[in-house]
Amino acid sequence: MISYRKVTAVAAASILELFRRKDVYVALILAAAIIFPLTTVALFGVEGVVRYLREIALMLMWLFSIVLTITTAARQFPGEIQRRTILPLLSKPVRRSEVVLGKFVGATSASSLALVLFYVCYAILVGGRTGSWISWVLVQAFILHVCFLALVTALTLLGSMILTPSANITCCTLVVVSMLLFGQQLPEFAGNASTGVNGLVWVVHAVAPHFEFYDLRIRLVHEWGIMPLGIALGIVAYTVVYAAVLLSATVYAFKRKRL
Amino acid sequence: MRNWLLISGLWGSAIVIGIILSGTDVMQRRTAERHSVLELILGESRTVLSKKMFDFADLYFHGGVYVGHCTHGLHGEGATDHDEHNHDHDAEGLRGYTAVHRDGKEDEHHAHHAHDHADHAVDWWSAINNARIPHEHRHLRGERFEKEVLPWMWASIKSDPHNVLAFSVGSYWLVNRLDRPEEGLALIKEGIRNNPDDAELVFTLGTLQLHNFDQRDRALQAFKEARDKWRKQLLEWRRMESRSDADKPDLLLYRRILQYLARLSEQRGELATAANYYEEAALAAKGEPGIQRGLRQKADKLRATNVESGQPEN
Repeated sequence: MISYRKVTAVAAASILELFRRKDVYVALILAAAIIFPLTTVALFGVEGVVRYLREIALMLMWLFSIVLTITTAARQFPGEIQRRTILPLLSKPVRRSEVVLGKFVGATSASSLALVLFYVCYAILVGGRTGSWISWVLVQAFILHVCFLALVTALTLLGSMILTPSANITCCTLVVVSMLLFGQQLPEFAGNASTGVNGLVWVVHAVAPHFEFYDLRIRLVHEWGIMPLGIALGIVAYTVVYAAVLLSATVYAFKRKRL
Repeated sequence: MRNWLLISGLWGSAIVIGIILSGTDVMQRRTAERHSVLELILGESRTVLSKKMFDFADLYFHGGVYVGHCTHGLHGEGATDHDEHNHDHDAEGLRGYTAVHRDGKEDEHHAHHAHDHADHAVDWWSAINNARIPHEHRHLRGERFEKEVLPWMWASIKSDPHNVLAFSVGSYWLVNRLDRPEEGLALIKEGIRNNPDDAELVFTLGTLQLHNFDQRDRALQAFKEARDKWRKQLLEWRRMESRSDADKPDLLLYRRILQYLARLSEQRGELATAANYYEEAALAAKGEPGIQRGLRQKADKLRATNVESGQPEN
């Protein structure tokens, strides 16, 4: 039986680490440096244009959240193993599954807290120009974005068990970005591919994590309203199942790992 | 010490070669051609970037949904029933908004090119993606929404000042959709400055001066200039060794220039000149017998009126 107290204790350390590293502040300053000049521009003398700002702000939020999440999750195990600080932790009455779950909860919470900051800044930016500070679609987009971060964290934690840190960061970034860009088109690619290759594409389509599910930018930017709730719940369930599978594999790899 | 000398020597050589090259004709010409920082950085790729930005403007016009992915008719943001039946630019998006629209022919019907994507989800994952991405065909209507395409128009123009279509559609948007004729005029003049040989932009300037500023004399001058530029473009095209039909100056544009010239001449009482313009426009309308017949009838009618009034033939 997993002890939530132990999991929380491990998670708290990960959250502190992110804010100690100050990556979030760098990301926020960088985003502000890009967005702020754009807010002052009145193109062709026309004011109140907001969608391109939303588009750019959301793109930066996604970009920074991916970078922050992968780097945070990728540092959880290798650093501790290299510094040998994992050994005193494991010498305590804590199971390896609890350590993995703690690291997962910690990294996801840390990335999600950074995401809260991003979304608050976004709401202020857009609300200040349109008068509409918060909407249901914004809430839905935020929840799905958190699910996205959880899945990315789970994938990166598994990667950190089997790859070197730099290889893990590279591979995870490739998988996440590729699926975000092309995940939706996989059936189309399979249809156009030659026999043999199309089977492979179908397997990728069936098995690979569909990170594009969580991207509601088009609905946010162009005010399309919320996605059907049943579908949104389906995506949350997909995240839970997929993350559970990845974490189980991580626990398995961690148990077999020689420290 | 030897390494430092080697590095210093290489630096010195690079500087000397740079100075020599900057003095040559080739470099001076290149510097003169690439006057903006963006042009210098992007080179020829700016054309591709400009087209991409223009596509983005079109995407924004359709609420972020690719027209090919739409499954339903027009919805939302001020779309009307009228739009559903009279939708003249589905096939080309914003590209359909050329000078043709300034004549009030915006309501010509074109076929709807929506494809049924969402109803063909082959598996769960595709079904989720289809539910996630909207598939309704929607247009921006009303100033609050229509101004949203402007940043991408601006980006398209700035990334390639030779993108005539972006200038043309941008000015149309400012004048006809956002009721900002001054800004539209300024934009088209900027377009002409950047593309001095282009007939379409000068024609657009003429239509703006005529319809939005009631400057008939200036408009007449602009149409005459547009005609001359069009003819020059045709001559240049004929001189080209490997010419293709895609590069041929647009015959429809020429006909429209002549029709405007005819109308303005008619309004000035120069009936014989107007008749000649109509006759020339009829020649440019080859392959369209109905239009050709109508233009010839106008020319004949004007000639007859001219004879009756006793004015000398031109």
